[in-house]
This record gives sequence, structure tokens and C-alpha cells, in this order.
Amino acid sequence: MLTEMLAYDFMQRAFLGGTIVCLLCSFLSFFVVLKRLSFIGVGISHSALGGLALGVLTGINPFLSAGVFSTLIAWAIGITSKKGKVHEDATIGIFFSAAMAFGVVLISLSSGYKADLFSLLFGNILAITVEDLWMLGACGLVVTLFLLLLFKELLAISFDEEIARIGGLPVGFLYYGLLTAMAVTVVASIKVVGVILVEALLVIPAATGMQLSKNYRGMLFFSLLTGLLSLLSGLFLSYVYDLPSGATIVLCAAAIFALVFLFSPSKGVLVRKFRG
Amino acid sequence: MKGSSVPVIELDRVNVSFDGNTVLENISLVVDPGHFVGIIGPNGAGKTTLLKVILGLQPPTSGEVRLFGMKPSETLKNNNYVGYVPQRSLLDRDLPFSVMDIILMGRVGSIGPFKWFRKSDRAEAEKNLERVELLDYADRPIGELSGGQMQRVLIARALSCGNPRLLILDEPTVGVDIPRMHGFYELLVNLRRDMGLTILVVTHEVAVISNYAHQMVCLNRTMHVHCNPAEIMRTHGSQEMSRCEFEQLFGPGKGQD
Repeated sequence: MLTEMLAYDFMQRAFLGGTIVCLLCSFLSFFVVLKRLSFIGVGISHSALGGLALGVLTGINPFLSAGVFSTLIAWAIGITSKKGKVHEDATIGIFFSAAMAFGVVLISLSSGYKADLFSLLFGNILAITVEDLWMLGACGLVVTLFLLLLFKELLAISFDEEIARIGGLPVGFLYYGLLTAMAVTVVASIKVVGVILVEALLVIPAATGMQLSKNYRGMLFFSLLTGLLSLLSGLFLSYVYDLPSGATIVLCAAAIFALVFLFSPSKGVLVRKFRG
Repeated sequence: MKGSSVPVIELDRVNVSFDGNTVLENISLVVDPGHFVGIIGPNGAGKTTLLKVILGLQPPTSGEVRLFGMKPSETLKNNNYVGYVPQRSLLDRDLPFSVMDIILMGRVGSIGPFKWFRKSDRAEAEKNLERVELLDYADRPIGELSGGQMQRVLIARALSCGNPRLLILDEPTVGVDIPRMHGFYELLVNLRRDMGLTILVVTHEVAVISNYAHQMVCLNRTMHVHCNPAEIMRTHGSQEMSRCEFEQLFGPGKGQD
């Protein structure tokens, strides 16, 4: 079955692209969960739709316009909630719904693109092209370098922003850098899981890792493992049962989380209950 | 850093207001090297804001702030001599970090970007864990520590900032019983003596800290008293004291006069 699957070019590209995206999302999710950025992740990913539509209508590469657009929205959410008198959750609610509405209006104006709306929202991993793979690789490289080179600084702002600031770290740069990395990752993930479902990959892997480990190294390891397993099992099941691949990958991730939540040796709910 | 004669902290007519509400009014304060200073005052007196001003996290609306003779922002740019111990209740102890991780994070600023922690950073962290008597806890997850142990871990983190000269603590003894409180302040006194630190503590516990501090600052939006602890006890009940709501702070029968 597996050899049959991998005989197709488009399946090979799907596996390669999916692996890059899932590992990238899992790495980033480590900081999203530690720094509690999951709702801002919802805001960034949903607003990418506005940027995509803008690209389609103006003839700019939609992924480029989506990247720039969601980065700007991410910064706007950050600035408004830090400087303004509006709570961050309210700010996110306003920005992402407005950006999505903007996207829907623009898409309705560009008649030819409506058919693709579903794949933008929920992904179409089998449509990954060779150019997409290059784009994914480039995005993955940039984000991974950012996370690796500034790993200890990002860790420090995730635990205690004030101490990081007093320690002389450029907290603003690191925070907005992290938001930008999220925007770039969202855009890279559009073909794999789409703008609605990418949030799952930005939260579930690290949330699972946190249930399995008491130290951050273990959390990161299990986060990457969860991402990879979700991709492999999701893609395989979607091929065998002819299911939408993005949604199947996300369901696999959620199932892994649920199992770990119940049965994790150290923190599992059921395990603790039986131990008393 | 300039010579040791330069005051560690200098505030000159500092005012801070948020949206027209004055939080700190006309604060002038000089703290000399090696002093142990207690800042007391009721809730909402602006104590934490004062610490933030000193640490350069909150720019004053007007007035001058100097930390080691420089603007706080300059001092902190490559900070390796100001250690800060925040209120421990503000930290999330469910996060998957060990004691050693937390202390190493206190050194991130002094190591510089693109480098990982070195052996010497670990050695320095262990030295500071030993100073707070928690060396055996290095690999313990922070979620398993008691409140008092966590507090000492945060002190070890503050001491690990590089070359600590000033230690600032914000309400370190909230929820700690009186005997342990004394133990905690004795630890601070020993650290001050052994490492030549200047120490600034914000607290509610007037009766306890007055046994250890050289200087007391009584704050309630404006600075009412700035003197040594013995004087604060003598003037207890005066008009200035009542403005600072001292009765509420001391509680009945806790005064030493």
C-alpha cells in the first residue's frame, strides 16, 4: 500500500511538503504554547485569507501577499493590545474577523477563484507543486534559523518577559519576531492544512509534548514527534479512505493529544485517577 | 560601572502619572552602595511602580533617574549587575522548566545571542544555588518546589545576572510565616555581606524588615518618611505616619516603641 502511494509524484511531494510543514509548525508550537500565543495564532492564520484574496485580485503572488498581510495583522494585534486600552483577546477577535470578512468580499469580486476557496480554507496537500516545495523549504529555513539561533532568548521571554527586559534582551524584537515567524509558517502551511486548520498544528504538538515531559527538551522532542506522526498517519488514512487530507492530519493530531491527555505516564488524567 | 562612591540609585523629583492620575509624586531618593533599604507602604501606594522606574521599565513623567550614575536604559542595555526578584505569584509554575533552567535564563542577557549556555554558566548557577542552600534541587521541576524554595530560586536567578551589585525584591515574603520570614531576611543580610550587594526590598512587613534594613522608605504616592528604622519606630503615630497608614501596616501591638 505504502509503495503504491509513494509511486505517485504528487504523493511524494505531499509527503515531503507535509513533513516540512508539520515539523515547522511543531517547533513553533513549542513557543506558541509556552508563551500562550495560541489565540493570537488563530488571529494570524484566519487573517491570511484576506491577504490571499488581495493577491488573487491584484495579480500579486497570493502567498507573498498573504505573508505580508498576516504579518501586518500580527503586528497590529500586538501593538493594539500592548499600547491600547483593549484586551488582547478582544483585539484578536476584531482583527481576524475583519480580515476574513475583507477576504470574503474580495473573493466574491474575483469570479474565477471561488472554486479554490475551500482548498485555501482547509488545504489541498495533493496539489503541492515543485515551486511550492521550494517556497516551503525557504520559509522553513528562515523560521527554523530564527528559532534555533535565538532559542535561549525566546525561552527567556516565554518564562518571564520582565526579567528578560531587565537582563537587557530586546524583548519587543523577539516578540514581534515570533509573531512574524507565525505569519510565515501559516502561509507555508496553507496548501497542507489551510488557514482554518493550521491553528491545530500550532497548538496540539506542543500541548501534547507538555503532557509527556516535565522538561522543555522533552516537550520539544515529543512536540516534533507528534507533528510527524500526525502527518504520516493523517496522509496515509486520507489516501486509504479517500478523506480530505488536511482535516485528517488535524484529526490524527487531536486523537494523539486525547490519548496522551488520558494516558500520559506522568500527567495523564486516567493514570493519575487510578494511582489515586 | 563607575567608582564605588557613585550612589547606586538616585531619584530626583520623580513624578509618574497614568492618564492624569498621579501614582508617584516628587520622589527624591539616594541609595548608597552596600545599603539595605526597605520600601514600605499600603497597597496601591506606588511601590511596584517605583521599582519599575528604578529598573527603567517605567519612564517617569518628569524627574531624573540614575542607576549606577547612568540612565536605567543605558545601565540595563548590557545589564550584568542588577538582579530583580519579582513577585513569585506572577510566574507560571506549570511550565516544564527545572530549577537550573530558570537560573540559566537569568544569564541569557549576559551571554549574548547565537550562543548556548557554557559550562561556566552552569558553574555560576550552581554557586548561586549553593548560596541560597538549594544546590540539591538543581534538576527539580519548578512545579515541585514550595513557595519559599521558589523564592530562593528566584534570588539565585537574580544573582546569576553576571556581576550582581544591586538586588531588588518585590514583596518577597507574601504568604511566608514570621519565623521563615526572619530566615529569609537573614539570608539577604548574609548575601549583602558576602557579595557586597546593595539591597532594595518592597514589603508590607514593617515590623520584620525594620530589624534588618539600614534605611526605610515609607511610600504612599509621595514619599513620607526616609530614615533609619529606629527613627521610624520613634515617630510612629505622628501625623506623617498616619498619612502613610502606618496603623494598618503595623497592626495592633506590633510596634516596637
